[in-house]
Amino acid sequence: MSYFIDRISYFAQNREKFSGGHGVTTEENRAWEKAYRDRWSHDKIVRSTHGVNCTGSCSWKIYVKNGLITWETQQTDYPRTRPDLPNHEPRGCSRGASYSWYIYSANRLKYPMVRKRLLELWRRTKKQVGGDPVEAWKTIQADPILRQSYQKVRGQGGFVRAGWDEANEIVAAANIYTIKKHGPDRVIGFSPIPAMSMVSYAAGARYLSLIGGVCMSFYDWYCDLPPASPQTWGEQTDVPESADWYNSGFIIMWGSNVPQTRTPDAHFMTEARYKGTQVVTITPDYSEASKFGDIWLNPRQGTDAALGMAMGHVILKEFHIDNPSEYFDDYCRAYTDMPFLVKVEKQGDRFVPGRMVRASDFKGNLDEDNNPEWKTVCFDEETGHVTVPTGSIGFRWGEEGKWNIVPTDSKTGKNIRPRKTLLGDHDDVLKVGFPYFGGQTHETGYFEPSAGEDVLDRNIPVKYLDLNGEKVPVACVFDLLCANYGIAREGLGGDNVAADFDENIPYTPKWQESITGVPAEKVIQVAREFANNAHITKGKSMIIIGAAMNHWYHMDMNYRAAINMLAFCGCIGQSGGGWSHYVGQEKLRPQTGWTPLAFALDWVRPPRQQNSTSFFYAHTDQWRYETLDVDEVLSPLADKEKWKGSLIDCNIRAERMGWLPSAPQLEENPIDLVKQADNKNVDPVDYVMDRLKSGDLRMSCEDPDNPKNWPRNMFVWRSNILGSSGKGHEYFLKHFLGTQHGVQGKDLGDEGPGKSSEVVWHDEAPEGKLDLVVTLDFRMSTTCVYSDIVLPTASWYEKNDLNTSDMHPFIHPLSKAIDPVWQSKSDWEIYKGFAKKFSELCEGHLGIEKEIVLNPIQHDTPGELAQPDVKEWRKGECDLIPGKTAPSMKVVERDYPATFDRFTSLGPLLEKLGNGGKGIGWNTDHEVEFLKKLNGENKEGRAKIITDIDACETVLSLAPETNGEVAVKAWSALSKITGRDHTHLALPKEEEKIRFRDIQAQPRKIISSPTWSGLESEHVSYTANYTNVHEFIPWRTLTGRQQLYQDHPWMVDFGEALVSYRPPINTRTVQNMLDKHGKESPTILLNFITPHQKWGIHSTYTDNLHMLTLSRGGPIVWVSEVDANKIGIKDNDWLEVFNTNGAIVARAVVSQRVNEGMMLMYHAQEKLVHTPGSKITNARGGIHNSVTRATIKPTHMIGAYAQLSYGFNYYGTVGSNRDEFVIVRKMDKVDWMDEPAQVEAAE
Amino acid sequence: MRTLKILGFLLTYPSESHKEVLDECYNFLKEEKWVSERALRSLELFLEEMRSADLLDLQETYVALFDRTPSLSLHLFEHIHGDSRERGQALVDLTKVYEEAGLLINTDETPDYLPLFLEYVSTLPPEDTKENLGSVVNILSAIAERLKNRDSQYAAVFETLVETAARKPDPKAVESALQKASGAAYDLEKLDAEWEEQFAFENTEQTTGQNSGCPKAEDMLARINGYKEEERVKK
Repeated sequence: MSYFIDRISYFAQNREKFSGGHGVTTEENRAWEKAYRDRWSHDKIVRSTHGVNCTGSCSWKIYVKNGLITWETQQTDYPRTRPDLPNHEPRGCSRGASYSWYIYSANRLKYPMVRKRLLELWRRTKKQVGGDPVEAWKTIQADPILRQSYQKVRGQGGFVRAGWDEANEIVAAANIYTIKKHGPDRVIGFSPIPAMSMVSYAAGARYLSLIGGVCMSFYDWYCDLPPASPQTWGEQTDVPESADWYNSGFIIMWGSNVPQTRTPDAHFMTEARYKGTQVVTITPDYSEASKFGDIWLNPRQGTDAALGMAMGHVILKEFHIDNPSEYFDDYCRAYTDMPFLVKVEKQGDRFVPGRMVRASDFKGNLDEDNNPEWKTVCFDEETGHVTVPTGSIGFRWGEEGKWNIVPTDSKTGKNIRPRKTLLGDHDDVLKVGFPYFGGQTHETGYFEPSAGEDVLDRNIPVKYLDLNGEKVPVACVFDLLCANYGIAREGLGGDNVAADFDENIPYTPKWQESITGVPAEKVIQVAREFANNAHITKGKSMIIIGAAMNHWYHMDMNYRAAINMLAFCGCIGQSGGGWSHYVGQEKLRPQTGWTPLAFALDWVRPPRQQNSTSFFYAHTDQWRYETLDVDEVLSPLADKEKWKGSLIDCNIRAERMGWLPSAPQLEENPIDLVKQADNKNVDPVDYVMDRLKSGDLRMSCEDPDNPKNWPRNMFVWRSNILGSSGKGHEYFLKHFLGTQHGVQGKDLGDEGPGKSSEVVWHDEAPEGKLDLVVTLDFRMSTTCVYSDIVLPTASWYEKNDLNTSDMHPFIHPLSKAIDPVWQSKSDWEIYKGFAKKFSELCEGHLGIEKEIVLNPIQHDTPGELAQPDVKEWRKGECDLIPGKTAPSMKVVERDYPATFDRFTSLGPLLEKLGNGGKGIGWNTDHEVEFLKKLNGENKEGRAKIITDIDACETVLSLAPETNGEVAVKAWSALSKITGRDHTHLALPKEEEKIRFRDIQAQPRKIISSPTWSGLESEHVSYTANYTNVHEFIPWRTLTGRQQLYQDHPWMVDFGEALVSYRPPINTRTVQNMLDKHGKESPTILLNFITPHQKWGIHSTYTDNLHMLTLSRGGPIVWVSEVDANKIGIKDNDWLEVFNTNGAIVARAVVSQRVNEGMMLMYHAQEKLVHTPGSKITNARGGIHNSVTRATIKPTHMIGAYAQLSYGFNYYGTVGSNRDEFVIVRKMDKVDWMDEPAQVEAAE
Repeated sequence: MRTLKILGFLLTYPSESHKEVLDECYNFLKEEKWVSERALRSLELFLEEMRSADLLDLQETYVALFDRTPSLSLHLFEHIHGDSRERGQALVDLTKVYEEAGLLINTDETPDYLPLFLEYVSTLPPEDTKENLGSVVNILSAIAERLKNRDSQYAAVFETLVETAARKPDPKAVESALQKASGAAYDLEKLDAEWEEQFAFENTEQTTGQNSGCPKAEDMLARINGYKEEERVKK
């Protein structure tokens, strides 16, 4: 019995071996595993992203344990694309992955800080004046010695911590004093790229807009804005999402280093190659992108337009003339201005292309009563008659239902077939002159000229029309283009045209060889295959284009050469085709929902917005050093007498004519001006007009160095303007900040006030225009170092915000994973704090005040039809009519003590005036009611916007992209104007409303809206201009079509009516310095290029140890082996890199990657890490922008003319910087300047 | 034990109220006799300077030293983990250590903030106190040296802490930390040497470490191992 019991057992006695004796279970203690399990455990995962100036816009999982961030990984839950198309995930790169260190890093800003000298002064003065902060600020500013005492130590350390309350008090007092004394337009704020964290941007912009301050543009200043885009399409930048690359059959990566700078999206390009897409890379250096090219073309940097012209030549000749592609032909007739007519004007013994023919040129205006001077004409091939097709810009305003580009005669409503060429039906052949710039020599001898007359006469076919009683020859744009590209056509004859690609005539493939160094047969091959693919696939050829192309003074030529190729081949607006410009994170998808929040349009309209390039050019006094004469960039065909003066004169004229904005605006305080008018009992607008006309009151732009016209307070947030984007860095330091600088050049004072005829010259240039610089950041950037007050912001895992990109169609959030660490606060809270303090301190200083706001004539408003001709009221050529011949003028009322209440609630103007954008308006009653319920109501019954989430919900509710109901309203508003029903594009999504919690759960695809020209659908990837081509919505240009011919008189005078090749300009920054320092040691001259970098996104991440370790750490410049050999540079040597603008000290990377004659310095290397002193400047070596200076271009100042009208971050002068040359020499001794720097800081 | 709390207090941002309690601080230090006579004398000098200097100057110096110079950071993990992602987890672990001791952090500071750590240590039995200080003695010693190189009186506080720790600092570890950042003006040759591109795979005379060949990787490994060692010691 016992045996039996023993045998019954549910347990085994011994552990059995398994797997044939190879496996055994052991019994040792496993407690150690806990450490690993804990290591990867977390309390929660929060979705956020890195709100940096990057198109990546990658969603990340942030792991939080015990209220601390432990690590982050990439999110993988983006909504799917479609079958047969790769997905967007995973997104992220090494830079973003190195982010979490910022949170707890020693570099983190933890406390509000104030420059010690200022704080000391502030406390003492405040006590002296009896405690009134505004009086205290007044006292400090009234004494130049006190003011300079803290200005001149900017950038030299010396910070102490301050409490939030004290910091807010100084800021508010300074703002109030400035508004009271100088005017609200003397308070400015710079913050870039709203798309990366919209609410944080809006926080500052809302505060500034409420108090009447000025928001500064960024896209143009960064030189990421391609003016060619507004010129051609009337749209700033609208591009395909990266997934659409996969749909392409032929991709040219042109000056865009996709794998390095578009890291999370590069996979679409490599995947496309697997399905047979051909990739051509065009870069001067052997960049990361080069190896992906089936063909790599390496034109000399800065000569891309020559290459583009040659490819255009091949395409036009082979696919439009010799063996026309039916698809190309149909496309160009319908969607480009090629059929439209241009007057051919007599000039001396030749003819030149002039203005486009308008309905108003005909007797009886061709029966067009509304805006006949803005309706362009062409021939109808069917009838042979001149016709006014619908869709030109004249149809956009003042009438309804005819602003569409279905090829229709406006009067009869009958279909037409626009005639693309007059050849064969022409009355005459005329010799027409085209400006040629390719023969210009360069000061350094580096860019080789290609000989040619400066005017090339070419024959074109014309017809004669009776225009207002005169017999006038007219040509169509296509025929002008063919002549411009130098293509010989049967029956025309004449000089300067080539029948063969091997002829060395501008712009043949052979011709470009000597300029670019690229063999002609490669050019022919690429152009032919590019076009052939587009012909077969109906437009699926694409150009991915990057900053390298846009940062040149003549960037428009580079861009228009490429855009023309795409337009010739019918690629624009086709999925898989088109212009893919990814520079600057400009795609603020819910834009129209955001603008009311950001610019306080719910309370006061209009806001003040300023184009930064012109502003900084004037106010950092870079204009005083201008060496580029207007003459040099004029067309040889222009009348030089008309263009006496300097570049700043052109800008001043543009400001006076209402083309470009002004800040500050008028020489007197706009609040005082209204008071004066009220006292005299006259209308303030009339009062200001009269005084302007009499010359008794001047616009500030005419005298930027007069203390009356200085900007006084500056806010910088979400930006590192002094460490990253400040072209002419040393001029900023000298004139704007008034501190130690490295400017080497003399201003034009020595040679007399230059040639300026409009601007007032002061012999003594001001140093230290700004009374106060306030920077919000989470790390001690170069800008912080130069600021007076530095405030710690919440980083990207510590705040709630919204993020979108042009690379993918999703909207997703930044979320507060943890509370802001130490004493940091979100931007929203910081500006709310300013608003609160400002409202409190107003008492006794500012109440409800009226002031007069000047605004340039805006694109997408009826104003864009304001000036068919250029006439200046200042010169008596016309009367001063605000909004017509001059800036618009409007009296606005600001309730200063209510600033905080207004900041935190949704104002009444949305219900009263509605909302909208890009020329489309709609009613917002529903959304406002909805927000009252969602965010709650304040005691006045207004929807609250207290928290950053409230602000997000406001944006999401008001935007058509995130609220289907609004989208339907927007489309139906547009339908009225076009006369075609577009609501089908949004109706299926009418009930879809995306809210903040939704995007926290998963990124959401936005809803199609007329703000953008592409569609979000299940059938096509987002691609720009899609609705223009497929819904017949006009481009917002003069003809309503893609505008390849620019007929504005300034465009014609500067030789850019049509595209051409223009070599880099002479900046004249090296010769003086060579004379001075050239003999001290061997030197070389190099062209200075600043590409996007590998170890950072601009300056962000570059100062963290991971990225410093992967790069060499500290400042580095790349030089070619050839150049290095010339003066014995070895890899890692210290180099001094300088010109009259300043000096940089950096290590050499000697590399085969770089071509001879060029130096690369990655954008943006700051002054924070390892910056030794320069012998040239006797100061610490500068940043990459220390050797640059902005030079403005008159064609970018044009306004009040259809697509060439001003819009914030849409059009305006741009800060180009790649035409610059530097002198390079080895340093024999490296001086870290540690001793003196410390002494000074401790002073 | 108040000495450590006071030493921690002396390392916080100097404020108005700071100056008023300096005498009191000194008296406690003297009474408690936790620190040596020599240390007390140097602390006295430090306190004297605090007393006589202008407050804003003190604050400026403090910001320049402790807020702006990573190698002098008062956050211990800056010296252990630097900018690595281990830092977050280490902070979590340290919080847990405090919680196990019944201490909940009641400030916006991170748990590795030295004055906070000192307060925790001051609550422990004397042997544990010294042991705990011993675990960070290399860091304290390196900071002390750097401050001395800058002629900063703050060095006195760190030297006192080093003196009271259970272990003497490891001269090699301190030396290597100082080589990375001496705190003083740069030694140019050393810096140049540091910047000299090193060959990744020319595995010749490796005197230390893993013989991995890549000095940079080796550097990292050494740091990681150093940390592990410290962890082990802590436990």
